[in-house]
Amino acid sequence: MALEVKNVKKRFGDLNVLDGVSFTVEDGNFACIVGESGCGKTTLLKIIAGIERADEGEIIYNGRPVKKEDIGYVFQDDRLLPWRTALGNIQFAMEMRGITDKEKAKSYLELVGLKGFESYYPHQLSGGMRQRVGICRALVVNPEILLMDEPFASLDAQTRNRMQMELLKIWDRDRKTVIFVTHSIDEAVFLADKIVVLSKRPARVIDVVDIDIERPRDRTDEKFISYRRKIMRCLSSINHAPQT
Amino acid sequence: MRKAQSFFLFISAWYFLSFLNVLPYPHTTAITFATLLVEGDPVLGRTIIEHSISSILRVVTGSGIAFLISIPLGILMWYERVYSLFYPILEVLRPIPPLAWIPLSYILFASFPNPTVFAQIFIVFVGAFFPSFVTISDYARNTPSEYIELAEVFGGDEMKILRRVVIPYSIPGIITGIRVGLGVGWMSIIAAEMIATSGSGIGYFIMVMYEVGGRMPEIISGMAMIGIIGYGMNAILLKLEERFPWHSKSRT
Repeated sequence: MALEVKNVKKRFGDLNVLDGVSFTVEDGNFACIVGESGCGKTTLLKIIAGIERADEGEIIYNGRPVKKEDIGYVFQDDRLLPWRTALGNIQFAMEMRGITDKEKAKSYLELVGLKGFESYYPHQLSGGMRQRVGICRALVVNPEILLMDEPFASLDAQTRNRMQMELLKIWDRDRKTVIFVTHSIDEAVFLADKIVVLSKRPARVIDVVDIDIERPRDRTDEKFISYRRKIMRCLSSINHAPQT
Repeated sequence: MRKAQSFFLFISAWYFLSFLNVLPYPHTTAITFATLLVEGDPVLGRTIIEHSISSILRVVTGSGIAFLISIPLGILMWYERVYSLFYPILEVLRPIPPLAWIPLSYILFASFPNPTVFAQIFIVFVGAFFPSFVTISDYARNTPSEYIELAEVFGGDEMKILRRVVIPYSIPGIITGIRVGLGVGWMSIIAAEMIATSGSGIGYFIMVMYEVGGRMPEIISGMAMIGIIGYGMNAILLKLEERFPWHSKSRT
């Protein structure tokens, strides 16, 4: 039982973005993809989600091509619809799949700590709260795989750390497969079971690192720091290699 | 404060022109205006309010029919297929001014019981349709691709995207379209009443006051009424537009 990304290639005209990306995420694992900004991480995530088509390669989930119903997606910008309330935004995802279950939407808002904010509009919520609604919207459709595209990038450091912990707590409840894109090595080491390191564009997988630290993780822990160093080295080695 | 200054400037300029015998004095005009509000005019025996109401009814009818078509059609322009089919036709018809349709509409409505009123309503229709259609279709076509992508990632099909994304996103555009359309419709009815006369209406009133010997205070009163009503309609709809928080953000 796993999600397999197999030799995915993508070009936009002359721009070669993904140059044969392959990796596997076991069911229930938390994987982080790290790489420089603009290296094609978002494109890769969109291909997995099925809203962007790969030129070559395939995405296999449990032995069959991945389907839209398998996926929950959290965007980098919170991407809430401004004309809908917090609750309405969560229901939007359900409506797209032809489900209406207001009580379920409500209970999920409670899960992310937003009880009482059902009827607030996005512009009345803080950045962290908006992103929670975004996470909630992705979870409410019961996805097998949760794709997250730098969801905490625009939050301040404190909110960001708190959100990471809350995300792990939510993930721990039902252990969905998560693919979390970030350019923060610290974030990746804190969250992931497995880190996929991508090269600069055109992106290839340069290393896959299993993070073997008990949760909750301590950022000042020696092991934590050595993993960070390892991944940082890995990233900088490719960046300073001569371009071919 | 600024408003008071602006009003003072306007009145001073008016008094100055009256002093030069170009215009009647503002206070004379104000008295005429006040009288016309409660008493019938000297020729047709109708108050300026009655004239306004018949003009407003024609505008509401004509532009109402226009919006019944321009709103759904404008929204449907989101579909590339609909857009490429209709847009060229509408772009050719759009530059034809509403008044240029008067002779044709006379012929078209000749067999109707009251052809001039039908012609007037048709002119309003033409006047209100194009600006509202263009505004609404612009809005629908500019639905942010991020929202479409959001709907797609959760498995929404075209119909769901239209209903749950494009239409709600376009609501402020619909209100703007109605506001702009009503504005042009209002101007069109005044002009239409002056050419295709039908015995009532504020435009007709002004024209009659001119024909019976250039009664300037009455003519200016009529013009003032047009301005007041036009301003009022615009102001109400502007207030309505401001209620949509994503309105200004999305139009940068």
